[in-house]
Amino acid sequence: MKRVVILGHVDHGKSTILGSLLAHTNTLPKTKLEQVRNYCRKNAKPFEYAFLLDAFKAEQEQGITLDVARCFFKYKESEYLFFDAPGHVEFLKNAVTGAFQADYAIVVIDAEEGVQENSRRHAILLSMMRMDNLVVVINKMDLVNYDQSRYVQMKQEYNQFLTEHGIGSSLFLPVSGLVGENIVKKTERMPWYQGKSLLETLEDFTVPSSFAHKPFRMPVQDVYKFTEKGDSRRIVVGFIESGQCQIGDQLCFLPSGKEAAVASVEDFTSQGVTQVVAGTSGGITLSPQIYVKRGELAVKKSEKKPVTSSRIKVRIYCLSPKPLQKGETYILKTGTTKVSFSIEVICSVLNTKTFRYENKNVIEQNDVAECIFVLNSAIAFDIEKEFIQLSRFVIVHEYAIVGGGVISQALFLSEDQHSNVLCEQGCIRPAIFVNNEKRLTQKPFIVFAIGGSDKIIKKFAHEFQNSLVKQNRNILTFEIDSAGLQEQKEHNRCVAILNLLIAVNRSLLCLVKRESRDLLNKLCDYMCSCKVLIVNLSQGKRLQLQSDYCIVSEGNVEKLIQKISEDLKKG
Amino acid sequence: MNNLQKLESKSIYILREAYYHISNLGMLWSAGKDSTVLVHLCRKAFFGHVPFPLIHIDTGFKMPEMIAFRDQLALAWGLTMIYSQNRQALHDKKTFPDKTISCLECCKKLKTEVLQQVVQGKATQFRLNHTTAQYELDRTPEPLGGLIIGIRADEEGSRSKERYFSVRDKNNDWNYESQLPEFWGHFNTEFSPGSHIRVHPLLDWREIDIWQYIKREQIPISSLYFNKGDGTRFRSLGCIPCTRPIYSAASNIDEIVEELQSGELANTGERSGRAQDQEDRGGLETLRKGGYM
Repeated sequence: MKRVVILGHVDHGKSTILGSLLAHTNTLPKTKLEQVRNYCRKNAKPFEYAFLLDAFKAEQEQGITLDVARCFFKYKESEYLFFDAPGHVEFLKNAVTGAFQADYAIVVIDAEEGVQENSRRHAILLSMMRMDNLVVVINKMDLVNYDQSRYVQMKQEYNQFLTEHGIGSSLFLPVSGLVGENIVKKTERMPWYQGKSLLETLEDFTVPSSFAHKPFRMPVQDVYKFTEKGDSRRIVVGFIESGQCQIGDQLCFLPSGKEAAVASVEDFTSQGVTQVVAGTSGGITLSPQIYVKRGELAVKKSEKKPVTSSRIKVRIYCLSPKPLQKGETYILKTGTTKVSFSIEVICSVLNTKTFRYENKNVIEQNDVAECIFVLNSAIAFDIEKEFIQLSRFVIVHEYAIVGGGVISQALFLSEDQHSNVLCEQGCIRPAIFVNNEKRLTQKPFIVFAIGGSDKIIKKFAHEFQNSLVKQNRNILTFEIDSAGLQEQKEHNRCVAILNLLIAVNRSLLCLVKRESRDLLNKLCDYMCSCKVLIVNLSQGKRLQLQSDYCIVSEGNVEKLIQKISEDLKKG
Repeated sequence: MNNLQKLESKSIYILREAYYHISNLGMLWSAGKDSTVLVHLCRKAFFGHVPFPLIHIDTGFKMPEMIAFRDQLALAWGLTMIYSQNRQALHDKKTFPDKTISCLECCKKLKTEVLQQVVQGKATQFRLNHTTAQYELDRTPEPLGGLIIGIRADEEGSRSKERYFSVRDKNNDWNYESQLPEFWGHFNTEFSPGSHIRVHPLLDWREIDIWQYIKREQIPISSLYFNKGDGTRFRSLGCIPCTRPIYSAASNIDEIVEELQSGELANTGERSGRAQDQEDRGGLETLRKGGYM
């Protein structure tokens, strides 16, 4: 079933287009259409298809859609579930409810009134959730005499807006919902339009497939032990977001890191099921029967692991009438995890009325913002670029969902260990600072310390800094997330910052959490005029990159640092 | 992955969310096709168990076949079965069949009010004793934190605008003008004190999905839905005085599916045989705002 949402500004004809689709494909019971006609006649109102969907009496009296309606519809072999969203800004939370459940979107714009606030705002919403399947319908063409130049002008204007906000090429088509022009059959009144009708366009949509090819991800929803009738099974249940797992597979539960194998797959109606697959609600038992609980993310040991962090960079959409602000505690829900958090940094805020970036300390209703959240405990997730489904979350405050967002990046080390003086955004940020305003005339160097557990990273960084301070040498420490370096802009920024500091004779220690040979090689290449050392902190694991030093065990750290210091002295 | 599988997975996910988040959960079961599918989905979600009571609001005007079917399944599946009814109104003959009140008022008295009392733990209700197969007075009814209900969006307008998790205030009222947002599988599971929650796992199912699923899963279903030779069958089940059968030759599940697919019923609404839907344009909406299912 194709799930399609109809969005756009108030009174631009969303319900009319949907009503028209229903009526012109004979999807409706005749009595229903007749009922609406009678109602309009009795109440001296002009007939409107919208009354088919605006079911509430209050909606019909005011001629406005209050809440999103579900509407089923079948044409030829395709089945559709439409969400008819309200276009009034006051009911944006209801539009979001529809929009975020759909796979495809139609944005309706009134040819006479032109692009309005919610035409733009709804598109921003779509880009937020990375919805690329956008169809823009220029409606009410009958009111502008089916004028081609009007259509072209609007198409250009809106396309420019979409491009500016990173929304890729979209399909445009001119229609009249009320007249039924270009809805089902190709238009006759607009011979200048060569494309497909709305229904033909919808027919080209495909039902999105489940994420069977991705690594296994099952947020643990609950653990059941029903003792009735001597049932002794301990069943771990959850919706499988991606991948598959079968009996015998080694699983890892994150963030706890506990491990167990799949002992059995439980299914009430079928015997002998051996695997659970993406898109289903499954149940498994484990061996050994470890203690796991709701909120953990089950993954396969052999596959790519998700990220675990308690400090995250996010992009959010605020639905809360009360502004979100620093210092307040909120709840974040992702997968089946629930964790309290506070906003540490508000990096940027986009006002979706003016479409300007604003410099402010709070996030108001309908704003899109980039921020850094500090969570009360670590959670496991995939970042947006890896798997958007596992990066999505909602914000809960005072018994209601007040916003949604995606995690764009995991940030490392705890909040009290850094100062945000230099650069808060992006893949590089200052980590542990020590007082070392000394000897800036020395020859600078840069150390890339790669991999390792949080514990060993901390130990190495701490002792390395101390040893240099003792020698009256300066050192600045950074964390670098190689995943972030993939973006050219970030890579350039990182190189610029590091080179700048080297140019003023600062020596640098960079803690690299994830190794990526190509990216680090590239980074090293760009580091001019200083000595570059690579230290492998991953205790015996071979790096793809050739390292100059290798830490075998924790006890080995001091000795190694001594060696590095000596080598540095030698030049 | 086909549509039925997707619907099933999502409904099971919703049932498990409800079970995790809501204490004192209950589920309405009318023994009709939709809520019987829901009972089956519970057995799948909880691996053969139904870990909360099933509640039947018995108006006293239900078809005897439905009551028999209900008890037969409750015993066979080991379900915790409770029914409740407004004995006072029945005794005082304040019902629509007694011609003393209107149809909508009757629905309110015999269904909405009883439902509200059940939610508040104040109803006179009866519990099935599986040893004796008899109903006994439930001496310790408890208030419910939430109710699972098998309504579907395609049945009727106001239901098309429902949420999966729909909050009701302490008077049981539905403030449909200020529904909370829900998306990405995250429902409103934080409840302010005094409110209770309606959970709707079948919201995305269509009538045809229900029948195809009954067929696929071989779910037992009341024979009232089938034509037994007189060319009529019930498409939606309610109280005897207010429910009319439709003209249909369909005498088994395959024929019903065929009938729905062929468009033979395209000109009649699913609930066209239900009197309360016809009264006062939007009769069901009026009822539902006041707490009706």
